[in-house]
Amino acid sequence: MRDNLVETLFSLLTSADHAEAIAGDLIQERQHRGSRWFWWHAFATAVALWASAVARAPLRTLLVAAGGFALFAVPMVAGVAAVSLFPTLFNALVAWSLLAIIWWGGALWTGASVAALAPTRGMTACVTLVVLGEALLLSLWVAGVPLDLLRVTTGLVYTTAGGAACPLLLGAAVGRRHA
Amino acid sequence: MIALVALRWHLNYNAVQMAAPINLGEFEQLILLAILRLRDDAYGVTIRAELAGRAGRRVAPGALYTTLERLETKGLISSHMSDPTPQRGGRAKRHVAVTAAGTKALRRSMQAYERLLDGLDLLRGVHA
Repeated sequence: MRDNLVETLFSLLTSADHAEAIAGDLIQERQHRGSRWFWWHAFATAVALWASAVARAPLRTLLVAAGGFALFAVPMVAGVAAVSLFPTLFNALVAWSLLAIIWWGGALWTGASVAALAPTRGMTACVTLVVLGEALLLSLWVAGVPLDLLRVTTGLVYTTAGGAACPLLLGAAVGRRHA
Repeated sequence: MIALVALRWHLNYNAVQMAAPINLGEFEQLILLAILRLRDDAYGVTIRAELAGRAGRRVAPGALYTTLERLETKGLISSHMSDPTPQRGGRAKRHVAVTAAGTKALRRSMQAYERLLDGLDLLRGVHA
């Protein structure tokens, strides 16, 4: 199960053959080096594969990532509008649920669309978008920028926005498989 | 007009790329030499072991795989998948071999070293 997870992770960033061989090499070495070594290098290898893919075509990757951001802006604005336009209609829980459904659903759709529209660069672009997005959120949080939306608190908005990374990558993985 | 200029630039760029000899980085040279030494048994695990054992370089798997991918894209190595083995969780090995272009690029690099070392006596610890 865990080995398949690692192979699947690699297959999102390189060809299926290469992913199988890299996962096999790490599994073979795990027998001598242990699980901690295996997981650290599985993560580090995934990062290296992503960085290498970005370095091969940085401009194209950034353009696809920008396209993905433009796609995600639609559900992002829709979520804010849904929560802000009718403040008296929803209580805090309903407002947050609505925001989460729209943002996470939008992230899933964005990831799948980007990976389907750009099969070679889509996954790399989605990971780039996640890295840039999380870095932006982190810097806003460190700077203490309030992002509360009437009934949804700043902490929940940050968490919901940060959590959109998972459905975005999941959508990209699904889109890549079907592309 | 712009399309014609772009096409001309593209053709010129490709011509220059094709004519230009491939320069290898130090890490690429080490990997190609390790592959040559390992002959039919060159794949990720053995290449890393060879580099650690003979060159004293502890290479991260990620660095090795991205470099192998780059070398294959340049046409300096070729690869094929072997049969799956149980100690790898039923996964195949990706065996690599140095191509003729890879050998040529490596020879060119080694000859450059040889010319630079000529007269220095550096390997015997005496600087001429």
